[in-house]
Amino acid sequence: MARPPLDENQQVVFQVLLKNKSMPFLELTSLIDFDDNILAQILSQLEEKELVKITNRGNLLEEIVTVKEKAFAA
Amino acid sequence: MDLNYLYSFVSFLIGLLAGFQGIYERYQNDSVTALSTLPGVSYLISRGTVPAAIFIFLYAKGYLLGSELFLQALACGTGAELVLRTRFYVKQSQKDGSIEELVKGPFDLLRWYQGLFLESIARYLAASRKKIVRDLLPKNVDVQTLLDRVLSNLGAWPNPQTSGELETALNKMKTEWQDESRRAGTPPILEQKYKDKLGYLLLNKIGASGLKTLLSI
Repeated sequence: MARPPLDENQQVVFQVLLKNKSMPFLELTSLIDFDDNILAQILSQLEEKELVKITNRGNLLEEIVTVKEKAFAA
Repeated sequence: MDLNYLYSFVSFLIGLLAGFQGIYERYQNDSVTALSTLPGVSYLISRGTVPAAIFIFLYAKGYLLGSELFLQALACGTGAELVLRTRFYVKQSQKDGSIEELVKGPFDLLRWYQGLFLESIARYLAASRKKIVRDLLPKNVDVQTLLDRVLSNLGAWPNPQTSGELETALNKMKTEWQDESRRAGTPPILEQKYKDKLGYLLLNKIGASGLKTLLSI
């Protein structure tokens, strides 16, 4: 399965996630120089593309973003 | 008790090693940490159990020869792996000008099963980083004090490049914190948000011991 095309910002976020496999949302915000709301928006886009899974959504302090297995295989 | 059943451990070991290969391919240097998680241990045990169960079944039913049980246990382990990694050619199709081959088999099931655990391990590792940060950050100290403390300790950090990068990031974080707290006041969730952000930044840049050092008074 080919990975869906990503724009520049999505690519930046996805590369950091690929390296770490899974990260708390706040860890991601501390490493990527995007506004928190923009980052949340990008993550939703990546989730729509079925590349990541977000657990504890809506709970800022507990939210965890995990790269889906098929995103590695693509 | 028939001690020959203990040969099933050889089959178990082969399944376990095959399972470890999947974890190593994904986590490389972090694979030992990955194995220390509950899903990591569960995955390895489940992968080892399949060939071991096959050996036990075959031995109990009398399908195995009474001699060379070690070799037969090896064969059970490798045979089970071989079957699990099998894929069959189904058909060929053309997509976007290129030819794609459709292959299906037990390997797809294995990959799906492995994927469940690998995702779960990743979440465990992320949660454990969260715990490390929360454990290392001093309680009952507000985020403004922590940011100031780290910024003032930063001068003693031996690597000027790292301390320079951290100083920029921390000053930016401090401005964001001040802006946000001006707008929203200082609810506990906002305090914790910036404390966590500070912790993750330091953990990723200088590790847990560096984090502890820069947070010390």
